[in-house]
Amino acid sequence: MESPQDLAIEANRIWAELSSGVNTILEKAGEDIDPKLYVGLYTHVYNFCASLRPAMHGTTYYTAAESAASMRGSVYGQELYTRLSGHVLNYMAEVAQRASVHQGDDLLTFYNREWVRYGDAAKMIHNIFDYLNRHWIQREQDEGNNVCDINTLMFRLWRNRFFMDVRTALIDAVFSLMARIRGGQVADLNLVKSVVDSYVSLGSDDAATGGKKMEVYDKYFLKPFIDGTEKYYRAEGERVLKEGPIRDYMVWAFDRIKEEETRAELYLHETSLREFSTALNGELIGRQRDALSSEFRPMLEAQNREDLGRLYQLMKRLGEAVGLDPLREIFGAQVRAAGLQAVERVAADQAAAESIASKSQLFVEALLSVHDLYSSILHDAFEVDPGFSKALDRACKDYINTNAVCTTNETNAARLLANYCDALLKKSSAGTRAAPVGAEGASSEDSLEHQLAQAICVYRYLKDQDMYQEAYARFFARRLINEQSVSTHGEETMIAKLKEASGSDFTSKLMRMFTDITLSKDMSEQFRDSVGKHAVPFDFDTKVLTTGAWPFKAPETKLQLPPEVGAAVDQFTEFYQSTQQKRCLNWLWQYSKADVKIFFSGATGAAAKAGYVFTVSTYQLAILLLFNADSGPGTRYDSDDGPLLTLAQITAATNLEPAIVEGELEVFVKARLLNSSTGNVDAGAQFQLNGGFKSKRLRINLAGLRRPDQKREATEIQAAVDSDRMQKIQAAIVRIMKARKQLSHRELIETTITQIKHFQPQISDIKQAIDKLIDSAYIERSEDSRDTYNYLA
Amino acid sequence: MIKLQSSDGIDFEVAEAIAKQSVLITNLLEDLGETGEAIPLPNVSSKVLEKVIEYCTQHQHDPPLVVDEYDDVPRRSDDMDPWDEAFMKLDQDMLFEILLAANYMDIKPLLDLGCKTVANMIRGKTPEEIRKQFNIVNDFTPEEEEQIRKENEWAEAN
Repeated sequence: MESPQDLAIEANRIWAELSSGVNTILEKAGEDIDPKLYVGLYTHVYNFCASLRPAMHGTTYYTAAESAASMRGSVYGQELYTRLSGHVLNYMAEVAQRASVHQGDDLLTFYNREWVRYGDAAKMIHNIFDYLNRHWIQREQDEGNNVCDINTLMFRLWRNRFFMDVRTALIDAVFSLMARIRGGQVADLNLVKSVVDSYVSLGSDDAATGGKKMEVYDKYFLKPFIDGTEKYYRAEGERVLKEGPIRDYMVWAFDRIKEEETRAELYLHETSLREFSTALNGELIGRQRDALSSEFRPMLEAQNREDLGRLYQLMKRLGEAVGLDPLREIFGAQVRAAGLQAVERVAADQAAAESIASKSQLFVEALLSVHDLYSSILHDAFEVDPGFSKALDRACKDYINTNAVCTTNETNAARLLANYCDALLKKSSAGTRAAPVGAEGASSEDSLEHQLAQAICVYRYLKDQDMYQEAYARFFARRLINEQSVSTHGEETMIAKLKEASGSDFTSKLMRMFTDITLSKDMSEQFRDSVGKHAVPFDFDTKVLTTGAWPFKAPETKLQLPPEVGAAVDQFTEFYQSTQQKRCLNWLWQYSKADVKIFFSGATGAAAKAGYVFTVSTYQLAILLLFNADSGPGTRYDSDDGPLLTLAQITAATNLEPAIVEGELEVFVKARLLNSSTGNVDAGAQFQLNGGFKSKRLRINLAGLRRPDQKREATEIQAAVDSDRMQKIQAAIVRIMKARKQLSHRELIETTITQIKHFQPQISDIKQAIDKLIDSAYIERSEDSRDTYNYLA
Repeated sequence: MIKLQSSDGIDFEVAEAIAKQSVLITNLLEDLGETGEAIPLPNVSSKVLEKVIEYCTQHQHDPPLVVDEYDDVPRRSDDMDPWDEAFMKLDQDMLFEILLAANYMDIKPLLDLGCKTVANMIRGKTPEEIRKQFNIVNDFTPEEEEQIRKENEWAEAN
């Protein structure tokens, strides 16, 4: 058995070898280390801890008292731990000494070299002292004592003894290097990167006290580094602002931020990139926010997309609320003002324009010019930012619906847009439709498609989409029955676009009309086949329209058809009834037309040979045929020009309302087709065919001369829309109440408003609808509360 | 192949998977890289190293040990693998040498196996029998012994 003195001597002997081995590793880590040295040191640690006590094997008895002493073997663990700490601490002091002669890049280089080697050494020493880790340290930690494993101990010593000494000098060196890079010189950024890595690895000030994981980096690198960067750019920013206009500052700040951020990725820890950017943003943008924002409006006016884009990118960095919202507000106001101005500019021209088509064209083009301009800016400069999009939409909705032109029902945006679309899709009689600017070169189909897309763009902003729909349906119907569509493809394109914009509720009605027209074509052919080619002595074409799908009503007057036409109509009716039972056929004479050829007694040349062809309405035809008779010498009539008829005679013969007859006669007299004995259309006048009728053209259209009355049409559309709205509101209320059973007045009104699409219901209309529904017992006022409604099943 | 050298200077060449069951060897290879030089093990004799290698060869394909420090389940010592049980049929000196070597080379499964074996040797024996088995001198006074017995009464309840 060895005495305590012997043990102490043995301990010193082992430590002497161990400490010199540790020195070798500290100095040579990373180079070749002999496995013999490595295992030797490991064994020394093992022996120091495990064997510095009586051997427990062999024949030696192991007494209980000695077992207690071996528990005190922990004394050797503590001893070794303390000796190692002291030893490495001395080494660190020596490194600090060596570091003190370096500065700038040299210091960074020195630090990094020492750091890398020390890291390797620490790991190796940790493993060599593994027996201590496994036993004494593990036990101490289990007992909650503040002892750390060897690796952690090594870094703690580095941090406390060396790093704390040198950290200010390090940051200074980093700044002097960064200043050179920022000034455009070349410097080795890797030096900074390595230092940063070291700060990150050093973790927290004291792991045992539960410090943050990257405390050392945050506290001793990031914070001073960001402070210094801010200070640097504050001074630089002021210099740049002083030297040039704010536009130059913008370019400068934009470039510097980009540059700093790209560079930061090379040396900063990834977790602090955002914080660094925020600091840069605050210094370079936030500090000049007001000055930058005030540049926005002038830039918008100048439409400088590059500048706008740059400003947008800068302000975006400050965040939605602080940076972008104020710009969005300015943007919206600018669009609104520009829109109102554009409409005002065309208001005078518009009032002067003759046709409704050119009126609407001026208006819609003014709307689009502003929308297109700003949406292209939105696209080019603002990355189609959703907030800016919203501001644009809101502004467009404002100026499109409420402006200098939209003052009456006839001139509201929905009506004008419907007129515009009608003009686009209607065959033009004499080229009244102006070609869109810049459409030359593009095929007319493409340009039509583009214009329709533009119209839909306006449509989406309409407050009264239902009014547009009503008007569009009427114009569409008129184009179909008059065969005036510019092309079937054009109509289909528009329907598809409307469907996309509003769903199929509306377009299914249009499609129904389309189908009627197609079916009618087939039916006309079948009719001709069934009665034979010559059964009807003239071209006879019918369109059968489904009641309800079309905005037409059967006429109130009962027309007495001329017998020639009457026979054909009867034949068709019979044919129709044979194929479609239980369907009632009403004839819409007011929409039908005929071509009639007239040979005048006084005609000469081509007109004498071929006659004049007049396109007339069926009412006009009925009147005109009264004047058709064998005439001339030896006939019933003295004159070459057939019978003389009075207003009363004509009215009686046609069974038409006097007002209609008067109107048509006015057309004939004005066209000099009929002569009036008094020169006017009045009760005392007699009418006769003008034998001396002359015209440069052989084809003359009289049917279109009685234009639809714009005012009356507007009133009709308004009435149709109003009744439709009332129905929609009532339907919505019933739907809501059926689902909710009971609702307060306020809730019901709010829910109704959100349910209604295509128009904005007036509160008064909703109230009216509620009253009507109460009257018809769909809902009732609650007995408990007058303010609440119940659904009645 | 890794060359291990026993305290009496004999080289053992073993596959890496076998050697690496020792944490000491694993760390060393990681720190120094493979040099081809023999790794000396000054605390392990060839006789013992041979047995240790026999154990490591048998267990070279075992899945890595799952270390669960918060394992509250009492360790069992009656669930030994038959091969391990046969392997542990050794004289007492060798058993203790292997325990020491496993501790030194940091081979946890082998250390556990040794401890289980010793535990099984103790189970069911009176203190006298245990003293006899392990050559332990009773240096307690009768009073001390009575005291200890009292303190540990709970453990003998069944």
